[in-house]
Amino acid sequence: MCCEYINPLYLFGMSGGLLGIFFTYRQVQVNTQFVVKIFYPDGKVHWSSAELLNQGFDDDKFSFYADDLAIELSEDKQSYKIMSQAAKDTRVNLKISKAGPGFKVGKDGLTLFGTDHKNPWGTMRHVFWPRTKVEGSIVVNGEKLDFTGKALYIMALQGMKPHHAGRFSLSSSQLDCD
Amino acid sequence: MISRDRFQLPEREKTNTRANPSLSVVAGTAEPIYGPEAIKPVSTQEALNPNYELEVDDLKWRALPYTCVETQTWYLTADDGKVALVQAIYSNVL
Repeated sequence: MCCEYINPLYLFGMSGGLLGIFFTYRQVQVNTQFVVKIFYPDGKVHWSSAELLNQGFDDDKFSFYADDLAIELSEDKQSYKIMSQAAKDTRVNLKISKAGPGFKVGKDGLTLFGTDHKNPWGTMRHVFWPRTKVEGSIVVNGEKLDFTGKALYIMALQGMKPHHAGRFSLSSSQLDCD
Repeated sequence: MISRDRFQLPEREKTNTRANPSLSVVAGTAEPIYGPEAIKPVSTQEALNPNYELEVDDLKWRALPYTCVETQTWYLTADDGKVALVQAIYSNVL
């Protein structure tokens, strides 16, 4: 939802004239959310989606913070610490460490939409850490679930309004070659 | 000889209402099918980075000042068989 604010300022001149000055500005609406979905081996699924408040970044925009949440890229840029109590029933405390090279196509990882590539209608960007190690846990309704294992990290940007047909299937094969 | 024209859709039918007939029509956002000149896939840049290297700056949040959705998503596979999705979403609507 975008809001338009108008602040009118009326000045009355000494000779009886009226001057109106209008200030308008549009407010951009930023919403941030933290989502967790867990698939148990027995088929049970746990879903959590928490709205985040007072979000912000560090100076370089490597790390993201909000009330009850921190997603920090380490100094050496090799791991993320994900800590969240934003949802009371789903507390996350994970460390994701790079276990191989990152992956990006091209120089900026961007797909451009539109007929004028200098002024695209929108963009789509993906960068990856295809192979990472994860350690830590997610506490679901008081029960601590260990998450030692592997992970895939994808950072994506859709630089335009969403499409209705935005559906995709994802598969990740992690093979160990000795 | 079958003329190619027999297989062309009339102009007014060339919208994505065929691909997704319900939602975009109801929302009034059905658009024409633009064709390949309206997309420049990332694969066209592939030769610029033959080793698919990721630079440190690529991990920065863009947080664009116009309508966008940006996510960091981790897909976890625990050794004991649990699978999880953990995702931070930054959404901006102008």
